[in-house]
Amino acid sequence: MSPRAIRPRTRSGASSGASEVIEVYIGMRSGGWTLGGQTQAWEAHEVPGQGLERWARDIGQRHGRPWRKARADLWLSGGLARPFLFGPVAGIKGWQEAEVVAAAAAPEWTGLAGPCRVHLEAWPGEASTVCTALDASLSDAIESTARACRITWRNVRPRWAVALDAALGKRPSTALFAVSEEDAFTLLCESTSSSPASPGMSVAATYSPALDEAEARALWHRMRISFGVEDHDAVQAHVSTPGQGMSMLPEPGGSWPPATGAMT
Amino acid sequence: MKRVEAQFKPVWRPTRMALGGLAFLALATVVAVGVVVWERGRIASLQSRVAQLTTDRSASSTQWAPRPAPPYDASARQFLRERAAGWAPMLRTLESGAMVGVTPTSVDFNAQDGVARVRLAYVNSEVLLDYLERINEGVPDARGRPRWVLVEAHDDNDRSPGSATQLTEGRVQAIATIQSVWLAEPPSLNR
Repeated sequence: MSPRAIRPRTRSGASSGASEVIEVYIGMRSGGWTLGGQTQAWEAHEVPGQGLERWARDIGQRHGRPWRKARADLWLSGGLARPFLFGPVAGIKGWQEAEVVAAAAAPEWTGLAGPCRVHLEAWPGEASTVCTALDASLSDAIESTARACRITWRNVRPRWAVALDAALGKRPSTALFAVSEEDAFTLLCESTSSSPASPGMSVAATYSPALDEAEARALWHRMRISFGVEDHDAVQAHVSTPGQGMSMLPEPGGSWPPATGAMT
Repeated sequence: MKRVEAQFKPVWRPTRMALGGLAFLALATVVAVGVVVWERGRIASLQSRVAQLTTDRSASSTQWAPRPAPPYDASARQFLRERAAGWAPMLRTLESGAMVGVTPTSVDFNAQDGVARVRLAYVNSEVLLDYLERINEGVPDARGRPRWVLVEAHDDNDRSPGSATQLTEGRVQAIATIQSVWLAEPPSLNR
């Protein structure tokens, strides 16, 4: 399989051409923010909420106006926003109930500690669907920080979801997608042999801490073989960080692994 | 593979300032609407009052059409004119001025024009003039002139048949006619 370049996202509303777009990336151990694609700050932190508050205050002071809040995109690492397959669950009567059940199941499926907030991509009553879980305390911190620092979040999404948008924009037939980040390795796979009666994702998982290269390569091959994914339908992405020598904050484009060569 | 949305953007909730602003706007709207309604009511009241006053003013200046005279108008006016005629003072002057040598022989009083004609039989002109002077005493007409005037008189020399000179109780008497006007202002029939 040859590595594929993924262009920056086009559907998230934060295109790379916009010069004044503020983007915040937060991981489990580090994070920072950019203005118009230029890194303004990048620091390690012990607790994600700590770094988020520091960057939000910085952004609010520099870009907030008395009559207008600063607007920014917040990208979460795979270690913070973890996908898993949820359902099918019979007997669920509504979205609220489905979210409660999914939130209850999220810690066991994702490894997140404590209560979670979830986002369901589809109704889980008849078929399994991708569900993304986020720690509830971090979700509250995101909301309270925005309020306190006069920031309006335009997007609060996992970085891997943005990278998937870019991959699908480039290749709509993508069936296997992997994102490597500093703190996590996220894998999404759709079986090409799945019947039309049961469409949807077959695998959605985040491995945190991130797998080393050998483990990632092995997992990648197993997925390709197990689900019959052709080489041209498998896309890999690496979200680089300035601390690792890359020039940009979360950058979905580029080959993966970027420095060590393509996986085979 | 389908796109994964996974959007955790906080749901917008109004802040206290926003709620306060909305409440202020709502209150201001209610006050403004109330003021507008009150002003409209006041304007409507004033307009109705102006219309009422205009109606009253036009009504007061209305020229009523003359009422048609009732069928009994002429009779009523005749009756009132006769009632208003100076019968009594006319007769009183004749009575008060009675003297020897002058004898009223007929009284013709037309209530319509208030003219009283009295035929007199007199013995000579001096007596007649004295009589006229007596009956005119104290009863001048409206312009201060003697009321009774001599209309005609015939002296003693006229003996022709059919003349006014007559023979009364063996004496030849002249006949004269005096006239006066006793027309009083008739009472108005207008209501």
